[in-house]
Amino acid sequence: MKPIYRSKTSPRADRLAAKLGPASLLLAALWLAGCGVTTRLEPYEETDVVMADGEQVVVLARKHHTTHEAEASFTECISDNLASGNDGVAVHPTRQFEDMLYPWFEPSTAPLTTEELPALFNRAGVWDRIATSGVRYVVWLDGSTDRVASGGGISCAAGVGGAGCLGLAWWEDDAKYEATIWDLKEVSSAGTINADVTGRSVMPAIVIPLPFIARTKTAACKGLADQLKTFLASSEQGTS
Amino acid sequence: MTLSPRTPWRPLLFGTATAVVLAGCASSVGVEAEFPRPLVEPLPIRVGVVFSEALRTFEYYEEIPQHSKWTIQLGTANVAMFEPLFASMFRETRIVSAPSLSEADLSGLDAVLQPELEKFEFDVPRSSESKFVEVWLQYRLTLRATDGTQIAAWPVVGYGKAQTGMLGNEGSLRRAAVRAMREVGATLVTGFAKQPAVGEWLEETHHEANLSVENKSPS
Repeated sequence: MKPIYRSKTSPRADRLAAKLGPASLLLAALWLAGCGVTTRLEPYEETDVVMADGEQVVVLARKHHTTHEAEASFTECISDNLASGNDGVAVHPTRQFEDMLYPWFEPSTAPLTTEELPALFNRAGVWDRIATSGVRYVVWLDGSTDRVASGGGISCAAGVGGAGCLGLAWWEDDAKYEATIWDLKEVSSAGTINADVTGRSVMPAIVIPLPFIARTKTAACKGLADQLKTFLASSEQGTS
Repeated sequence: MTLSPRTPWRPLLFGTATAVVLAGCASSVGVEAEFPRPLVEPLPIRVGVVFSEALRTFEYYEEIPQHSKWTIQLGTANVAMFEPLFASMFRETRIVSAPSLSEADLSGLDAVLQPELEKFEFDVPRSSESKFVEVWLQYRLTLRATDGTQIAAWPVVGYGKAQTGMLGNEGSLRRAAVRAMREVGATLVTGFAKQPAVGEWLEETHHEANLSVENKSPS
């Protein structure tokens, strides 16, 4: 009597299993050992920015690049992380800020440097709305998560009796982001924080693919948000 | 394919699977969104706005060979974008039915403005390497005097992109289209008076308005 699992796979899958089985198991074990995330956050310079009670921060993505831009999900992740926890800071919703000041924070009109801020604030109603919203700091996010390498392969075969996969695939993502903090009240750039996170994911498949995903973007978001929080929270402590 | 009498469900399964695959290749996207009122000082003119039937019911169809079929409806979004935009740009706006109107319809107006959507293009990821949906659109704005003569006509373009992911291609296309339309609004609102012909006309209108006020004021 044949084993049950063999009876559910196709002859092609059986042949692949026979050929690659031990090798893929060994490779999987090796790669699993190497699976993980490497995070590098550049320390920021201490400044004398002060975030007082009632002041808020808004997180915006730079969208004027044609090749890349910080993903909407990344902006949301940074906003959520900044606002969460006991040391959370007051975060203004991104969309609400862009709508409130439309059309002055659209890709073609948003200020690229702090030197453009005085002209923007002189426009009718702009400063009044910013002041009313309580937003003092703007965090500009720039960067993206890209796949920098990938390899291996998984073969799947299906027959009348069932299906199965065999092999090993791996890929490496690089998340590079820069957060530049503008102080709208002081009309100056308060600081810049860089995050560079590399993560390698592997997916061995022995009948069923088993993904071991390195959460590269999430790690970059968490690391950057923690740094931003420290940056802004230490300023808060400085006021007390 | 040979069908076994012992498996009568197979044709049904095959048919259902084919229908699902075919349905998955045809997408219909209705773009609906709320657009914010621009934060600008209105120009001191009263403008009649024409929303043509073509603009109100704009629908784009494209078949990407060996990939998918797309139907994109932008009519509702067109009106939703332009109404608050023009209401903020000008001292007074009134929706009119056509650029050439009766004297009664045109009374109290300085000009008539008509937007038309001239071009629409989009791109969806066709491989795992690309991850953005992109939308590019071009409107043509035509400003006419109340006697029907053309003051200016110029194109306004907008580009938007959105990453695919949880939203899927349809949701990302919707988001990219809204971004492109917001960009059109931003370009229009910040560039309207900078159009040379519009600028000249505005100066004349403003000058005439001042003269009119001076003539009416008691000496």
